[in-house]
Amino acid sequence: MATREHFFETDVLVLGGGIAGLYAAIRSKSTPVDVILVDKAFPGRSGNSLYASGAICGYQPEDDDLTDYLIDDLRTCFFLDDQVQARKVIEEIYPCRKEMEDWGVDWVRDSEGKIVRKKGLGMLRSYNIHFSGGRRLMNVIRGEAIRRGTQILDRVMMTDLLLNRGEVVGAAGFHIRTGDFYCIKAKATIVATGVLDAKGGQPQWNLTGDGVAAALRLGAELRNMEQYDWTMGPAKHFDRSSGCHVLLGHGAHLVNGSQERFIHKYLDRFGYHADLGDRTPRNVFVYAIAQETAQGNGPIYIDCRHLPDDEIDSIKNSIPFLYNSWKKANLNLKKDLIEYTVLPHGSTATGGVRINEQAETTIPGLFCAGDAADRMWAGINGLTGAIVSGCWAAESAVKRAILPRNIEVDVEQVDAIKQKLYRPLLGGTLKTDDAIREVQKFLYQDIGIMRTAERLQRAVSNIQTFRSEVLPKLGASDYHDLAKALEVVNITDLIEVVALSSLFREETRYFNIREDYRGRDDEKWRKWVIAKKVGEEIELTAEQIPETFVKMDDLGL
Amino acid sequence: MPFKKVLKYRCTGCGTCVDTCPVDVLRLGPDGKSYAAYPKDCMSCFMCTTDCPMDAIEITLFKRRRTPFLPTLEFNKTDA
Repeated sequence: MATREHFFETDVLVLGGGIAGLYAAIRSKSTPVDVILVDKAFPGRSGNSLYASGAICGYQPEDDDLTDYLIDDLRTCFFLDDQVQARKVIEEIYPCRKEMEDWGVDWVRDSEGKIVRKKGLGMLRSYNIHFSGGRRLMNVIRGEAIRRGTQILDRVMMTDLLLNRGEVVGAAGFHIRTGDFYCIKAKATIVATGVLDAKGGQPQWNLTGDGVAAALRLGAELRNMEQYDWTMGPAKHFDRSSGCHVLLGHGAHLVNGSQERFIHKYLDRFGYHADLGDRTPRNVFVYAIAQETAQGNGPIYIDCRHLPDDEIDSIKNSIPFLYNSWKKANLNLKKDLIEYTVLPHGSTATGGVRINEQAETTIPGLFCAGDAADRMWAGINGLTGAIVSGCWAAESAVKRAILPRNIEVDVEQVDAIKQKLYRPLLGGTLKTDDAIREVQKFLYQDIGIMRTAERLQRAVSNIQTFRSEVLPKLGASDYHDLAKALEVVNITDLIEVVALSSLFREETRYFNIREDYRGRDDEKWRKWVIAKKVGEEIELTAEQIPETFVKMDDLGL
Repeated sequence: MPFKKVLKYRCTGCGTCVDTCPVDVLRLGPDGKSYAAYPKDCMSCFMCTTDCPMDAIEITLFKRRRTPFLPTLEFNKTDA
């Protein structure tokens, strides 16, 4: 098979076909711009949004006080969110919810037809609304993007962003089946490639932070990378969703091997409210489960046996696939305990390309949305933020693209990308699956959940040695394998930033759980950790977090 | 390994699973039916089984996740 080269030119280029990317495409296509959306897999069956267990922020202006939601958000993430962005996300999800309903998304309703509202993780005075899982949601969203005329390129992995005269002018990559080279010139580029993970956790295994890594290599600022996060999920019978917001929101309990509740033992470590019961922010129950298991009190279970029938029915409607896999395994929520374990996650906490409330990154021509961004809405939820930031990115991208603009790609740069891209196919002694196992150890064990300076330094050293001495030996057997090889390169680049950022933040805040700095240091560390590649080094700075609407003292933490 | 098989007698070669698998496990074979070209990459997300109009794919339901994440535990392999 001979490989070909394909050149495209467009107004708005969207990298990534999860909900953030598709929503950005949908909104962009409400104007006359051309939009090309590129995905490594199949938009609509791609990204974490597919496994969303059915909850988005339920703010309703007629019933709720926005400040209640903002306070719940800031308490959950310990003030790490940018208040302007968080507030905007809460406010703007409501009109998005209305239009999604018009397109065909169903919210879970009670027997009287009223939309069910439940307090989710970390929520004292705010609510989520539920829908029947990510699959149906993504069918609707993909359909709407196509209906509006988005040009979709499947199975194309964009590996590099193109920079010319200090502006991003598009991206380049290859088709993971045919191997064809793709170069797309665009007036505005939106990175919506999702979260960083190392192919072993909850996020689907092609979420490897590709767009974030490309932005890092270009010199874009990243923020809050130390907040690489975890979740819990079914240990055995599952479909990749975890159902945390839904299950705990309906009143399920977490119990240990002796069938005792245990979350309350760990609230002090973080200083959260006992009123939340088991509905704590993810970092608390992750830490609690990890500690209980390490102390030999495992396994851990979700217990729904005390819930009334109408709650179980509502759960069934909100997480139908998960419910069905349990049913197939002869597990009945009313009678059986469901074993849960800790897993790497990615859609809650922050960490990614730094954006402002217009989804602008620190490089002109480059915008970012969804889990690839630094997610200044960590206390709300990932899906909600992905939808709204997709809208911000669309608006900014269109504003830029609607102007006549002469953009040129740097031909030498494109050539250099092409040469580097296919190199692993020339052979190598390191197999991609073995390389993946190595980076998994660095991320899941060396960095891990409960971190210390010693292990983090070891992580940095391991990663740097791996990159300089081992990674050059990486070989790929075909184009499918080449995609995996390039994913390992991206993971390596990003987990170094995670480890360095975590070392830099000498306190425990949200998912930066430092066993050697056990407290929260608001005086010294009410700051964001910014990371930027300068030459071959990662430069880290700390930036004071502004108290725009709510003061830290008002949170009662 | 979670990916079991494609039931050839049911598969019509519509290509839905080949189009949608997020991790590119499936391809269409010379017999016009789909097969697992990269079975080890299967992450048991069940997209193929739920999207297949002919119910022609089998993935194991029961898969213990690997649990290497807790620092005190061994790095376990998955068994599926």
